[in-house]
Amino acid sequence: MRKKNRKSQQIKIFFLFGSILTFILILIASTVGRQELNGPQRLALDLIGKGQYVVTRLTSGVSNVWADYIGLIHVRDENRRLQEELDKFKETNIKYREAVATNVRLSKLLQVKDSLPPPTLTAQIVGRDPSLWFRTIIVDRGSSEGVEKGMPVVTVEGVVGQILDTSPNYSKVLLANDPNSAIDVLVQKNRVQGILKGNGSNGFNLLYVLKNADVEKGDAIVTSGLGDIFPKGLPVGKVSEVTKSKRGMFQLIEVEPSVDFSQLEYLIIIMHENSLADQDFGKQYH
Amino acid sequence: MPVISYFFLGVFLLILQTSLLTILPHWAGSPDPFFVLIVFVAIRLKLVHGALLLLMLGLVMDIFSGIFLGIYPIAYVLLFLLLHGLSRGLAIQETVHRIPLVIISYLFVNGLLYSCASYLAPENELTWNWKDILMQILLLAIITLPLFTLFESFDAMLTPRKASQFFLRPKNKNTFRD
Repeated sequence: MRKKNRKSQQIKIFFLFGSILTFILILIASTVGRQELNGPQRLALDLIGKGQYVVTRLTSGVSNVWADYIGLIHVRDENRRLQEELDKFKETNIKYREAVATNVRLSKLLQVKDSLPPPTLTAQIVGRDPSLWFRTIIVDRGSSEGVEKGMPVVTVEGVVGQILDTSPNYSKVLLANDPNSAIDVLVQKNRVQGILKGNGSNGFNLLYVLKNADVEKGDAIVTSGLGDIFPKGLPVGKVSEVTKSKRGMFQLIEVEPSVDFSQLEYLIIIMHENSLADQDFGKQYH
Repeated sequence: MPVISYFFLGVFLLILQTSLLTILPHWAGSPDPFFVLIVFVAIRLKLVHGALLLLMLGLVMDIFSGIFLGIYPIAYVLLFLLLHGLSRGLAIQETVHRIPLVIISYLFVNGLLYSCASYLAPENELTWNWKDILMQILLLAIITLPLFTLFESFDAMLTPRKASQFFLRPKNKNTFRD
């Protein structure tokens, strides 16, 4: 009984292998000489292709993640390098902008210089008065270049002040907004004369203008040229407020300077042909 | 030697103050480290050394500031004598007193400068601007303690033996008894 069962099993296996072999042979026989895939081949391709697709995607995903990770290290280095380059270019750009701004300022100064009576000297501010009570600056031109006490100092916008003291290479300038400064000026429209004094902050007071004089807000104030200190007609500022009090002979006139004293950088010193050093500097205050 | 070192430190601070520290906008005031040094010197140095140093620093300040020569040396020497006299009777060298001391000294010196300038040129009216003065006081209050620490380090560098004695002294001693 047992022998019979084993035999029938062997026969089944034989048939199975035989069938498979026959199928393969038929497949081979049908494939030889053809250039197109048959149905089972297409099916196999489809299935294997899916597998390939999945594996390839996975591989490429892992590979990309790995490449990105490795790449980050390079990116960090590159980023640092680019940042350094950017900083360098920014610095260069700032220098260029500064050079252009300086160029513009100096061009304007040159234009003003040409319009002023010669000789003139360009100076740069190197220091400012640290106190609350005085308005002076230090410039990089001194007596070795012919700078003398009392010489007027101007800029593109107008009057800045006058030389107070000198050393061989540097000079101290009394700014026009210092309370101790006094300049002889005119109201441009009607030639009314007055004395311009600094108010200690960023403004002037125009003194000794009679009440009957026609002075209004916005009137331009220019140097009178009296006293041979400042050349005639240099802009000083504009009237910002006029008060006529009941008492007294004179008007109270406030003048807004044409020069921004906090933004000064380059100045022009007007050299006099006849030295003012012999004259008493104190005289011009009174 | 300390007098010369302090003198050069003062000149250095003055150069900084008149050039670099003036870039701040006007409304923000300008820090005055030079004045803090003046007060530090006034309470730290002995009579002859301190008076001589402040006189020299006042003369230098005259070059950079103002139009009336001599008012800074007078103001600084008077401040020195005042603080020197006060330090005998009061413990003004203590840390907690430093900020008020600098502020009061600043008001004293500026009051003196204002009075001198008004006296020398009465026709040129000066304006006592509280807004600017308060801004300066605020800045001084901020910079006083760091600068005092810096100047003390500088002082310790100049006199290393004294510094080591200071740090090695017994801590539980009553400092007001000395």
